[in-house]
Amino acid sequence: MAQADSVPGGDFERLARQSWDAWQGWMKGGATTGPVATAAASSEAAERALAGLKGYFTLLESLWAGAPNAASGGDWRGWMSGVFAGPGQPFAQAFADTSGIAGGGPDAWLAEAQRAVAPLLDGLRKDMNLPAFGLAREHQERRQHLLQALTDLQQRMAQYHALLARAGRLAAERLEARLAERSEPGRQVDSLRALYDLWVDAAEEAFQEVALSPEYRTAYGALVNAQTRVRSASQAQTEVVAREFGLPTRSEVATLGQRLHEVRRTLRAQGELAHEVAALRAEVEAFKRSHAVAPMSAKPEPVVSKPAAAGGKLEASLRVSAPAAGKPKPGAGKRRPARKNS
Amino acid sequence: MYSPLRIDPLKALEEIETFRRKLAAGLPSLRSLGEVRFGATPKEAVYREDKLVLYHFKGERKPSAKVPLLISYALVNTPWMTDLQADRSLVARLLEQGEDVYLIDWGYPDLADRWLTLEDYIEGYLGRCIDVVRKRHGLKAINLLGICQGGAFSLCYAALHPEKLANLITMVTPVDFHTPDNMLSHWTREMDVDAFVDSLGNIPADLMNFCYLTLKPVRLNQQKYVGLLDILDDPKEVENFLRMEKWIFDSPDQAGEAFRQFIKDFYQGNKLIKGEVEIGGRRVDLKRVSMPVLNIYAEQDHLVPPSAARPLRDHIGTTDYTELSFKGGHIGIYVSSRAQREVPGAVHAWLAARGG
Repeated sequence: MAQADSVPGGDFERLARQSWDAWQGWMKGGATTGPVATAAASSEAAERALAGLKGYFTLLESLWAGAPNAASGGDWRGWMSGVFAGPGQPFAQAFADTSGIAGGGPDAWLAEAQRAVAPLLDGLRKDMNLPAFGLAREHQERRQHLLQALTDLQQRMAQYHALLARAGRLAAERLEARLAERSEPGRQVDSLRALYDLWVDAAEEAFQEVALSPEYRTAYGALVNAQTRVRSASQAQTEVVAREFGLPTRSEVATLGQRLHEVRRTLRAQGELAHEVAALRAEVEAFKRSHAVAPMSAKPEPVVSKPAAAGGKLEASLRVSAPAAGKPKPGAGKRRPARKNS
Repeated sequence: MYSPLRIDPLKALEEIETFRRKLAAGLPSLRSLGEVRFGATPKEAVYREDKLVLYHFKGERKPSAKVPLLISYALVNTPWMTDLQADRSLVARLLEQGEDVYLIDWGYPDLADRWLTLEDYIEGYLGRCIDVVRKRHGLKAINLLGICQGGAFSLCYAALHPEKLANLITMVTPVDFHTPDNMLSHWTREMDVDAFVDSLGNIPADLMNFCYLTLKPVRLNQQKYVGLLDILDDPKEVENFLRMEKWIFDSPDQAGEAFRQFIKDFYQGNKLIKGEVEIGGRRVDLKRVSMPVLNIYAEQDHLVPPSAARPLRDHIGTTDYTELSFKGGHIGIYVSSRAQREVPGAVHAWLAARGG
């Protein structure tokens, strides 16, 4: 086995760590001083790069520490399954790396939710299924729902991670198969980077197979729905507290927003209708002018098609947009027979 | 039988040393980069409504096209992927071809926009932008280019108002949402979208991005950044990389009601091809899409697989249907050098042949 400390002229692990420390140092310093890092988006990109590179370094270290001696044709299969199917397998890491995003990864959500409600739940775990009674029964039931939702979320999370682990094992198998195809001289993998790229291809292929399976679809849906139930139950608790302190709640704001949106839609519809009516009036006027051979004895009413759902609004618009007509004449409002001008 | 691994320890060490050198050389160039921006082509805002802005682009010469082209992008990212930088700009290349280009920037919805429905987006915002462009040019009908989700919106609009569109171009647009290789659709199928939207209000952009990253978890969360090391000593390439990163993660939240309807009707119900989508109480019948249609899809698209885009030909009413297959992915179709060479020219030639 080739070990890092046996390499003449250097120490892989030390160099890798130096590079890594340099990168991290720059990240920390640059976050406050560098011109790029002052831009939020660039800083975010750098954070992501950091997370991605960290995983890469970990993998390189693992590869180096246990790499079989190439010349002797050592036990590469055993070594490979140890590195690629171990606890640091790709998907757990990739998913964990992104779970710090607000509202994003499932792990972050679970941790956040548990932290927020822990004080409420501590005394309730043993009574989770007890029916509630009396004045405080609704409050107790709400807390029980939240506890149930959190428990359910943990189960769904475990099922989901089991599928990710399956994808990891499958990735190792795929990598082994790809490597086996390169056992002849001229096709062998001769660099860490080439091995890494091969591993990524195998990992993505394996993940795709698992992620398109019916089990994944069900587990994914169940996980999202479990998160949603925790979020809803947490919100219900929060709203109770907010109301007690006289604070506006999210649902109240949502209701206001919904009503305002409906009013805007109604106003817009009325405006559009008024436009249509004005256009029709103009058309009628133009028609009258072009066909007027003699003064008319009576003014024909404009003919408008009245949308069934907006009858009341149409009348209102007509009143608003009609030119000053003076006092209503006797008989106004009664429909006159249409007249032909020619 | 040989071992497939022939990694010389000294060579491996050299790899690490090369990496260290690249990192050391690249850090100063990272520090020297300014804030990255996109939206390279000169433009003028010609219409605003709520958070939406309709832009009209200014080319170096007057457009030769008789009918303007309006671009309707998806809601899930900003539309600047079409004009990322001067040498990676679908918009700039279309202007060079002589097209007269407009673009809708939908803006960043906040909680005040939580109740916007698909009707508000399609009949409202998109429809009014189309009317504005028609009025500016004194035309009864204009050309519409819909991209991804914006393509689905464009199809709905085209079915509801065929008389207002002279030609329709759809780019990487999902039409059949239930093909077996559509991972996004697969994942949404058992989600309780009502509860999801009710609890979140608007759907956070970070959550959407998390979902997209996990479509290719190792490649997008790790390998991409390993690849960054290869270009760290090239400031121009690093700037391009950061610009793309900014575009990917600088994305809008999704208005809750529109998201609810889009997931339920399109992703879960696959109603677009069934003729069951309703916008503002009116049924969207793709058979009413009677204008010429150019459908462009990307062969390596992991978000909208070709199998999701190509069925359009079986469901629309037009007799003038053209398909263009692009060798690339969902993003490469706008920014790759191949895209710059192939796509705008193909769009222009297709429009020109139809009086556009």
